Amino acid sequence: MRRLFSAREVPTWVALAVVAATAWTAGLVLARYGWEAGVGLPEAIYLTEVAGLPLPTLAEDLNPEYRALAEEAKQAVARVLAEYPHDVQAVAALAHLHNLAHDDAGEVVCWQRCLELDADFLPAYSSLAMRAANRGEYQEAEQLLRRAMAVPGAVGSFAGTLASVLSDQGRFREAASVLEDSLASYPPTAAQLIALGEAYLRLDEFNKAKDQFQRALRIDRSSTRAHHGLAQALARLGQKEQADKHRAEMTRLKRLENQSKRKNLDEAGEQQGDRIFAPKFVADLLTMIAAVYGSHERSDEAERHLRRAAQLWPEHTGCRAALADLYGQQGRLAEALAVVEELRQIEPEQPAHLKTLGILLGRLARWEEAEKAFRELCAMATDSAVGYAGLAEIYLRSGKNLPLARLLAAKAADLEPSAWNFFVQGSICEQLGDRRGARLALRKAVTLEPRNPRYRQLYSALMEKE
Amino acid sequence: MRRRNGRPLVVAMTAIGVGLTAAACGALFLILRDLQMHPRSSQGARPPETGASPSTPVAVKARPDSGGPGGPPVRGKGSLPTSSGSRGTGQGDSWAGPILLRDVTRQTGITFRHTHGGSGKQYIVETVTTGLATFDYDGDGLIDVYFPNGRPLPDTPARMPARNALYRNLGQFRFLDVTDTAGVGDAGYGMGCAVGDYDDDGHPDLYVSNFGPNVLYHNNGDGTFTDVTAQAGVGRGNRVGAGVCFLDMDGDGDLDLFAANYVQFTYDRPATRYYGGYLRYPGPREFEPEHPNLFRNQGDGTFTDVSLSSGVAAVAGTGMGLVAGDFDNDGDIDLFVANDLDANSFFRNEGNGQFREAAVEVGLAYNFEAGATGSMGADCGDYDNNGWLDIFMTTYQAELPCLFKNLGHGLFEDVTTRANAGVETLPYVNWGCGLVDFDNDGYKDLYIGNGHLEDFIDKIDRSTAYAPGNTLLKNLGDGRFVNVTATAGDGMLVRGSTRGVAFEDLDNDGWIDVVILHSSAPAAVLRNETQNGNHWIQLKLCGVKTNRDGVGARVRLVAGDLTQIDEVHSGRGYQSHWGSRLHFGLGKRDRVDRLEVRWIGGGVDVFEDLPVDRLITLFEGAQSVSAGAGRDGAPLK
Repeated sequence: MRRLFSAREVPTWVALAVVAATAWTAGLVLARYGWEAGVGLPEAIYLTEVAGLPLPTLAEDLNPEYRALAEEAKQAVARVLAEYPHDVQAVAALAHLHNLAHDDAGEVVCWQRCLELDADFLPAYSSLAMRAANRGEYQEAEQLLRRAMAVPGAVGSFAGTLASVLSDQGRFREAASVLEDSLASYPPTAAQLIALGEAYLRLDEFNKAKDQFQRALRIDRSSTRAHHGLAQALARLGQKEQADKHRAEMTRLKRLENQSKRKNLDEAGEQQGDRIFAPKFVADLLTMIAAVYGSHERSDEAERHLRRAAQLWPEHTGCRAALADLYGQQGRLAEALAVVEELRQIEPEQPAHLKTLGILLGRLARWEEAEKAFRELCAMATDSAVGYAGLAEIYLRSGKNLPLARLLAAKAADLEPSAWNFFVQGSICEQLGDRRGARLALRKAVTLEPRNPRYRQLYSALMEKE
Repeated sequence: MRRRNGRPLVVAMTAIGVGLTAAACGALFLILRDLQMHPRSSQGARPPETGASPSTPVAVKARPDSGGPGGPPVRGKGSLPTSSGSRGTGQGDSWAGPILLRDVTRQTGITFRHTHGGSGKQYIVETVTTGLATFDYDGDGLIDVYFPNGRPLPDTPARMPARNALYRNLGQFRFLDVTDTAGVGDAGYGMGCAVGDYDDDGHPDLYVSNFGPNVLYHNNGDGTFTDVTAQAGVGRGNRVGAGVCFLDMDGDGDLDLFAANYVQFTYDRPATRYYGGYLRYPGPREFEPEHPNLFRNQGDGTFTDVSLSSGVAAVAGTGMGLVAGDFDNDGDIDLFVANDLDANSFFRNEGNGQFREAAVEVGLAYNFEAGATGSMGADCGDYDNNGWLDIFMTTYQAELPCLFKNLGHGLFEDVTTRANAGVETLPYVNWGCGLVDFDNDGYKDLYIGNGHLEDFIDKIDRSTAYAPGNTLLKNLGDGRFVNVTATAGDGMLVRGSTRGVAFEDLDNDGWIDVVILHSSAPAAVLRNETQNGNHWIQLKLCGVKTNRDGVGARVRLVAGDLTQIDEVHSGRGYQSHWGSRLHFGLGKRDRVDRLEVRWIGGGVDVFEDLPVDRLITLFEGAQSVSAGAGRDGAPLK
């Protein structure tokens, strides 16, 4: 392997002393977090750049635990970037590392590199625009946001932010226009409707403002911001009684909000403090790195980083979901199942985990448990096709309750007319000898995904039989 | 999108799907001032420092208005020749020269250095000390400066005694430390101060807000003060003080006293959490809020605590800066208190010294977006000259400050973005502030003091700074401001973590100067050297039946097409006091057509056709005004 890093030029005795001290500190901290010995690259402490990008220097007066975690992240990022210097996700990981190390200039350089590698890389636009806006550099923020919005499908994600940047510059008409455009193309959100209402308030267009706040409240009745805006609009329209009513409601909600904030203060403080934040952040970073390795078919490295992320933060769901997926792809179903059980303990109300559980159990031919999982999913997410489709598929695979399976598959296809759901429906019909039903469903599947060999194969077989 | 509500400083990054799990997208860690003075010519020549103009008494008749507050004013008959009115030419003629503030700290002899007294345990009180006061304590016509100070907190080695300091203005920007002689070197942990002649003896007294008992210094009139806290009964126990002010709450002619409090702090709540690798100060929400104190002046040198009976104790808040004024033009004094990360308080005076909290009702509780901001300092002034006092409030990093426009019918509206009132200060924590006419164009400009509370912030958040420069916004006269910081002279290059800021004409040249208190650093003094030929007038109000300093008196000035209002405030900005003399910029208008003075709890006096470029003393109900004259920096006689 080519030499990727240049060591900082320091006298040998200083280097040795620093290595010893850092290794000692890092060893203590890493021991706490259970990092496996020998995995890191101690020499990364001295690296100053990788792949032509600057590596952050960690301040000496950082809290030792924080510093050790940052060092660990630095090594992981340096390694992946050395291997995949043109992978935009790897460069993004370095940008996040700079953020962790409070190196603003380095972070900017990395995001810019991301955009050189992929002009449509939305996280770079988002981070750079956020940074500019927080500094009051509105023109730059606006430019970045408009570029981001030129990326297909990104308008809805950035319209609210752009409107806020425009409003801060007093450009309320433009802000309103951006929001109107977004709302015309995407499902309305309370946040965007409130922002539009506020733009109209600032334009002294009180009736329009009122309408938007009322729409927002239909989506989120407990929005203090919407009640506040609506009260202002109504007051300016001379509807004092109504305005008072919304002020009163805002006050009531604010009181509850305040009580809640004070009650949960310690928890919130802890969440934002380093004790929780730093390992979570590093776990996020390692998950990103795992994704890079995964995309380059380096499943061993992906797994190692995901396991370390899971170890660093016992409630980290992203790394566990990725790990379950990885194990599933590798046929390590028992291990995948164990990780999904952890996910269910962390987020018992999350339907996605039940779905994964059901699928894994099905693959293990544990039909009754799989059926139970999908039944729970149907009860938890009644308007979602996933549970019904899963249950139908389990019946199909286990060969029981096929008439019920047909009904479930039809419901799933109604709720989500996807190729897969039609495929399942067609397969069940075919099993039941309902050739017409099978033909209709499979034709839809093939129409939606004409290149899917499985769908075409079954459809062809059916047609041949006829 | 912005980091709202100040603390904490962690912003969740927008996670946008890019093929990675959302969890993998992490979070952005953005830790998270009776003189004929010398108007400067627009050619830029400074007036000679000798060759003073003679004192020119000006007699202008006035009589008290029989109608009382709000009634029709009675026009006074003056002996001055009737002027054809001022030669106002409108707002557009006064944009002749930029505001210029020069750093003259070195020549002043002010060596005060603030200390917050911390030892690294990060006690919250360290972050909020302190405001300051500018006032003429010895009546020599020159405004003096008083700096409260912190003191060593537990575990902090007391290398040198920390105490408050009083600097006597000797003229020509020279000051002398007279703390020992004056006897005002309180060694309590200073938070702020206010000035008012509570016993109507003609000498301004000083009330110091502390973490610990507050202190009331009685001005003996001979250059010395006496601590009368115990006799007066205004110590208010061992609390964390904040902004304080004198006001005549009930219109009975004497000054009452309001004292905001911050949080219920105890030393057993030191900081324990690290953020971004550094130990951070706890926020105000980590403590219980504290209700304010209101003391009614009994007229015999004592006060009675009426916090409960007046209604102000009904609301506990994390009080900081405050300002009292007649915000609803009903002739009595209301109170606005900025609460840190809590709804602000607006105590509406019901006319008899009873107050009703109405911040939500009038639109002052929250910012435009219904957010409870990290509110810090507060000042008021009629920025748009529409006859109603507006309120400006500073806030925390990543929050816009708030300019609350008084709509005039019991409602305020946060017009910060519309007025461009400090949008540029978004990255900074803002403290001291003032609506002050620096260029004498008749429109109040905005000065905002910036500075972070975390001294390590520069290491972890490049978007802000611990000791940035302050911000100056010029009022364009059309309801909007423009940032002129970069062109306003080396005074705006002074770096420090600003807390209190005071605005006075320190050299009696008719241009408002600036005094800045920096946390844990030396103070700074900026001299206003703006040269644009604009005229001005300063007013010293002397109550006779009403309080001696005219605190709460409302002045309405008409000069040609320009009409302004202002009031005498005691306690304002960030836990500070300044502006006992009212200052009006007049642009190119060289006469004042009419002055109406509505005395709080008294009548209305009207004065007409007044000369400009001087300080005029207006006595309540008097038949004349006295217009003094002097030379630059010379004491008034």
